[in-house]
Amino acid sequence: MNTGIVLTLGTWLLAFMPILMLLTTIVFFHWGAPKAGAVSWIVALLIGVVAFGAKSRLLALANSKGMSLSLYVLLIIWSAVFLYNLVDRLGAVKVIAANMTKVTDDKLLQCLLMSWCFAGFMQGVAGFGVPIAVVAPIMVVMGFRPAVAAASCLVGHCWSVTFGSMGAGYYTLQLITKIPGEIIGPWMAILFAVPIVGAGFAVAHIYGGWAAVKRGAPVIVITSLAMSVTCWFMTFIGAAQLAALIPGLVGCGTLAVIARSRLYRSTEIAKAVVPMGGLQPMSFHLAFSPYYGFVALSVCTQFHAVSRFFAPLTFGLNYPSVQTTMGFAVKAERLYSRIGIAHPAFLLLATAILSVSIFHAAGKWKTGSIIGACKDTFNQCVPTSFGVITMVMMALVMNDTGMTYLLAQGVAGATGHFFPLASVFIGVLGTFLTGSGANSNVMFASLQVETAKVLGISTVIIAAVQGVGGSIGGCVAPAKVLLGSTMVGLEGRESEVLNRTIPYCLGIALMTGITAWVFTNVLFRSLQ
Amino acid sequence: MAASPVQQKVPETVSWRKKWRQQLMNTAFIMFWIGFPFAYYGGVRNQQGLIVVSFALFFLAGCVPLVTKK
Repeated sequence: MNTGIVLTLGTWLLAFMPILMLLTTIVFFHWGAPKAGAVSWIVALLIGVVAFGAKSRLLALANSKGMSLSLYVLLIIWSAVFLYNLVDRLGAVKVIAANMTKVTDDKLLQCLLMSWCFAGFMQGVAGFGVPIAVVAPIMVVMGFRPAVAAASCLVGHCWSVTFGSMGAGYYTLQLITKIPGEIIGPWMAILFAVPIVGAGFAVAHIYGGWAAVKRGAPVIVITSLAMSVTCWFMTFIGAAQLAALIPGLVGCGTLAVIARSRLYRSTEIAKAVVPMGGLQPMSFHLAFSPYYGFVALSVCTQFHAVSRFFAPLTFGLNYPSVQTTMGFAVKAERLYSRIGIAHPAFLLLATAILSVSIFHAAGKWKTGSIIGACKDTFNQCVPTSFGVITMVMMALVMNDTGMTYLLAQGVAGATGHFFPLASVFIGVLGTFLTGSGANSNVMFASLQVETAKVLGISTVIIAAVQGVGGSIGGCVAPAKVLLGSTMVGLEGRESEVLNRTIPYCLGIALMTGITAWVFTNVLFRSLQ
Repeated sequence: MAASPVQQKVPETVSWRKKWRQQLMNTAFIMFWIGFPFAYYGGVRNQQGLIVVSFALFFLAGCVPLVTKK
């Protein structure tokens, strides 16, 4: 196979330029994702034409593929945010949160419950900073110090980013790497055991130092085990879109059970559980009904009879094979970025319709909720979508012109068999730059897989490591840190929060990297 | 005639870059989706006219966050 332009330091640096541009504009010029993404995309196009021999047809197809992929991801983002906004406008989110605080009086367990398990659940439902925006202020009201609340939410939810937002990051990774979900999903879940345990201990340490770590160890280990097994099981049965939501709930349940045990009943009792919003306008089960509905619908689509019935409704575009003038060949694609009835967006919209009927029947419907939720969703999602589109198009232009392949060759040569260690930090870097695990996967998944191929190590494990690294990066992404700081009243003091989260992020990433190295070089050397 | 003791506030001029950002971003977002079929059919059928239109739409949309201010 002709692989295009020859690897030299000059060509490698040229291929790195779009990423460098993205990095520089975000970190040093503090540009937002839409602006940085647009500039990086234009730079990728120019370098593609000038140095990598891309013709207009190839670039048009790369842009079109970028739009196809963006459509897939944005449908999930928009529908997840819409469902959250609808449920929030009906007052159900406050009721769910208030019930969580009643589970235990122990402050350490409350901290773990809210920032580790419930924030993970919220990430599974909505993502995009919602766990921080919702949970951190509630924790402040419960009596936690603002910096502790923001930092513990940021670190605590980092295990759930890739499978969160109904699997947006996971589906992006799957699409970019072309590794089927049934293969990559369980591997990701196995690797996610490290951030799950790590985040639990990190939250305890943020709350009360080593004393809290020691006291919380039994509950953290048991809850981590329950969450990790559930996470793996959800991916194993093909319901990866629930692999943050359900483990988050299981974590809440496990913590609640352990909180009633002799081990945690009498120590360090909180003065009072703060009532969230006074009187509860509805029961917990009614408030939670949209998510019960979503889980039920997701399970239904896993039945072969259901998926076969709706199979003709699958949509995807076919792309022809193309080649650069330098000889880099791009394969033809059939039903690229296919969208079927099991796509989370359809399930989320069906859930929204179901929720409208349930809340109507229960007499809890508020007029104008749908229009309000639509407006909120549009205003929240346009800037995010803009960033996603430009960065995805940049990634696809880099991919189809051979830049990503060249970068991978260079990285493989430089890091050798220590690449799995570096791999997780690449994922972290992507989320740090873009504020989104999905965007991190878009930017670096191809690079990671190509590098693994060059090194002859497992592409599946490295792709999974990218997903996990992208998730861990969520606790240091400036966009999220800014959001967390603002929500707890620490505007202008973001460094207090960021300085707390960075060591935990690096520690969890390092542990994941070591695990990945052991997997690729010792335990699963023959895995492709 | 004596000047009014109440100082009149000079209205702050908001730059068009800031004033129209929201609307322009929304328009740019729509332009990406209009450009999508042009890019796809232009690429698949190898029609330069469609490809040029798609690039023009994408490029104009991409310029919006560069020329507007938050």
